[in-house]
Amino acid sequence: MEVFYFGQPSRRLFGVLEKPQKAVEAGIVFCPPCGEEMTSTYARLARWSKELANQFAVMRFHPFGTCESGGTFQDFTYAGAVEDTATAVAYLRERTGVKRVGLFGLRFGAFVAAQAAADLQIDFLLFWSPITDLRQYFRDLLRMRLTMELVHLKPDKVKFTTKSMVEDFEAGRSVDILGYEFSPEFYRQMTGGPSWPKTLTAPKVLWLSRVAEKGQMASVPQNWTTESNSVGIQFLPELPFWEDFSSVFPSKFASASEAWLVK
Amino acid sequence: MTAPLGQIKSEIVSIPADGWTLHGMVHLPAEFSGKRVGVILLHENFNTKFGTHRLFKDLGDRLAQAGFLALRYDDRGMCDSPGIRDLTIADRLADARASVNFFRMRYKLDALIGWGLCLGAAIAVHTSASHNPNERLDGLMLCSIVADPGIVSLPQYGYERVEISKVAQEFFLRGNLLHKLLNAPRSLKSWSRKLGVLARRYLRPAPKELARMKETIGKVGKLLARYEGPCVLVFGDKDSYLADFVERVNPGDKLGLTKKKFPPRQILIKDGDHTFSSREKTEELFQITLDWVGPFLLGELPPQLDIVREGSVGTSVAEAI
Repeated sequence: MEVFYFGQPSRRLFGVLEKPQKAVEAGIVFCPPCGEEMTSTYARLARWSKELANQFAVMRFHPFGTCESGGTFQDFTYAGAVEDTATAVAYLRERTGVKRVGLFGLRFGAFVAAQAAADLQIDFLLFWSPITDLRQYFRDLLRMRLTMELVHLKPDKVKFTTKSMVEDFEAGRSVDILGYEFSPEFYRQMTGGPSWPKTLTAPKVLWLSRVAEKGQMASVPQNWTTESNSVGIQFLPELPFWEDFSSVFPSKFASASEAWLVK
Repeated sequence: MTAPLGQIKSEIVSIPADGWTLHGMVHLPAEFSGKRVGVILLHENFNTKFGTHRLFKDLGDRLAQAGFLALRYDDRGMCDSPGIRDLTIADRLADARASVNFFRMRYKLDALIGWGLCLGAAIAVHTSASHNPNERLDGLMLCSIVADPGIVSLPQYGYERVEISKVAQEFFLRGNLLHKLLNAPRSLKSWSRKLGVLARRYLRPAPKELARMKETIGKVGKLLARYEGPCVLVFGDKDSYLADFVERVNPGDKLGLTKKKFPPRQILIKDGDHTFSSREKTEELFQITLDWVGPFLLGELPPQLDIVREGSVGTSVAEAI
């Protein structure tokens, strides 16, 4: 196991690489979810990456502005996360010499992976509960802050609304959501930015979602959501494990993924 | 002394612990002008060294900016530490002792302060009771401390065994009881669905690790009462652990904290939650930390009497809730 910094000095990234002793042909880069979901799932995804490292070279990294990487959370943007994924893929290829590289993404990380793959010649994509609509996801983040405030304070003490938060962004001010300072740039990219890629960005895709998330597929182009030689889709009875800090592991997602990856 | 954040260096370290290796990060000040004082940051339950909303990483930077060294680490077999481990409470305690020892020796520290959040605070108290001088802590800053053993049976601790007393407490003692009783008929249907699950979980044998965890947490109050160094307790007034501490761990100052020669200071952060999860509350917590640890750099102890937001344990907190 190697723990290191990589990338440009002005954009220092933190990474962890694990691989078996023997030479391996395939590697996987983990694309983390956003904000608190990255923290709450960190221990569980790290554990899974160590298990996968029996057969694959596995690289985890922290996008710029998050966790151990440089910058502050205000530097974290969607476009930056896509750029950092490319840096991580390049590092993995150079460091291990693997012939095939895949991206694994959870939630926001899945959206980033789908987008980043377009320019990286990625061999396979693995998604867990992808965010399919960034605009909706961003609205949910704002509502989450509002909900937390309502839980902790009396309703008459809550001084803002989702509308006022949007106004702050529009005026160029960052907004604090549960201790994460989201920048106006992040807001602009999330609300005015990309939709799910129109064409498949890798030859093989496994899409795993929770049963409750079936409805979210509507906003995704049909070639991603139709079972084919290239695309596998499964809806599994998992809990939204990213919502808490427990040790509960999404074993159904993991088993389905491992079976597919081995193939 | 406050250096620009850009001058703060951090280095990756490997900490040996009972044959395991812990991955850690040390924040170093740009220069030393006083004593070499370290702060070890002990994280909460299933979390990692950078912490929720990057609390530990940012605190490490701020401490280094103010002239301190700070160490954060991942427990054995967790997160960025090599290997896989179903972590036990004994592992956590051993890892904390190993890290304290490593930090003190490797960086030749004059003083070492334990800073813990939630379970990390409980670990800090236990570590302070070590008989090994290299493992001792010269000060304790304990935030949102878990000291009530009942808490560790809650789902977020992952043991999935319900304690009826805890459920009853949640139902009867939290919120408006009259309102709850008036709404009881309507709630009955919902509760009848939950009863089966609760019964199954209640009848499930308690995992041994849960028993060990509860025993360890159960000792925190007494160890805190015995600790002779400077200590500060910090709670957010919206944190339910505050009520647990006051009502179950130290009701009426049962532990005798106020009678100690140096009673622990206590600081309430208004509108703060369990992890101080807003930039404003985090900043307040950082400022409190820097104010409290500051005197150590001069070889002095922090003042025991506080000026604002403070009272004696078991009185002001009780009033606050």
